[in-house]
Amino acid sequence: MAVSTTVVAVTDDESFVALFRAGDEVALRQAYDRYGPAIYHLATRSLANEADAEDVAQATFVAAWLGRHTYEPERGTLLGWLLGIARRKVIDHIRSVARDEKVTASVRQVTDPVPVDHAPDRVVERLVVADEMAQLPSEQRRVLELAFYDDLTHPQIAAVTGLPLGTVKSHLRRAMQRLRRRWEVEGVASGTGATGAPGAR
Amino acid sequence: MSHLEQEQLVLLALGEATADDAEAAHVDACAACRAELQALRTVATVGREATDARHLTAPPDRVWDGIAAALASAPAPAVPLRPEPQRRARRPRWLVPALSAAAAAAVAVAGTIIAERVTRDEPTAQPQVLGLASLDRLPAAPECGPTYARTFIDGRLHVHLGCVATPGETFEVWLLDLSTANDPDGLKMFTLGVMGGQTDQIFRLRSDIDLNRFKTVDVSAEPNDGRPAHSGKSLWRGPLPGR
Repeated sequence: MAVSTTVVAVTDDESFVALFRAGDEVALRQAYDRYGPAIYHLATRSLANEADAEDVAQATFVAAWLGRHTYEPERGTLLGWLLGIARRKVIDHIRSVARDEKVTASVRQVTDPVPVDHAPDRVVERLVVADEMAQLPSEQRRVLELAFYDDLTHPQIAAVTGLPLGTVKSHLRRAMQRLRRRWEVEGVASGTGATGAPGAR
Repeated sequence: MSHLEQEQLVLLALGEATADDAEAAHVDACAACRAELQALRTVATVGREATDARHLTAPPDRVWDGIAAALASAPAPAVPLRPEPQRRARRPRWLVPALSAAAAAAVAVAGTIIAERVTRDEPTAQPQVLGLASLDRLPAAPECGPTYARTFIDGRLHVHLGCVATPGETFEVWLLDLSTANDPDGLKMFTLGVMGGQTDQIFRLRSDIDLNRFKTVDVSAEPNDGRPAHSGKSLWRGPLPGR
């Protein structure tokens, strides 16, 4: 399969996803360009070995392509679905390594489990929340970033941005509600099958 | 005390406000508010941790190469590229919508070309895709899913429609030169052929058609009335991909 770099972007999300499901390999490349970085991030954060992480990223897209008919857009975003596949690949990989190590070095204890901080579920949650943040209206996003990363209070945010206090509060409320909804649908649920792809293993 | 306002819950979750005694007592007693606050707190924590997830780097090229190699031996795509079932002898059609039949006939006599359709030698391997573009649905078109065109590096055009024509009509594919839309003798266009009752069809883009001019793909509904002109009823239209 060869896809050139002069692909005309299909910007409309719905038709892009429909093309992906219909089996258009250009849409696969677009899915890879768009979500490959997030999948790769999950793999590299969860696995110590770079080559293993690349294998997982690759296997995720191959499985997604072969199981594309099982993706149901009404149950979550394509990113959420891909992360669900990648998460299972990561866990399978960790388990198989643990198994191998038990077989080949039964005396040695398996010493380096994935640190909690980098557990795949946690990384998935962060990726999903970051993706939703990126899609917030710009003013809402700016206000939330000031609260999250600059630790500003809402009067301080109002002073910095020049926005009325009430606007800052409603931006924070709306932005947090959106993040929360997305996180509930895809982040926290990634391990419970809400973004599952039973046919795409 | 009634439930806490959503805005107050958000401020509490962000750690910016502290609950006063009445609020704290309510949250302690109210499962709904407690659950809401807990969820918002978690989201705030995850969001604050998400800094490195906001600036991602693309995987190395070899990851895509591996995907492409793995899929080269994978089953055929769900939208197979079907060759035209049979060659049909058709008169050249070179037409101008919204013109009189006489004017259209004059243009036709002036001698224009029909793009050939691919009838055989469909390669089994996927040729290299040069570009893909959605065709926009025009008001007259039925609502039947995504519609797109893609060009291959070997000069062929694949048109995918979400549906086939109703009996009594034919879907026909054209290349338009929209810069001639206001010419006195009408819009210039080539026909590529008909969809032939299929949702997918492949046409060859003849090398003597100036694709820098004829760069708009148009799908029309044609009544089966023997008139070769564009009916004027365009259903989908979009850029010729890869141009």
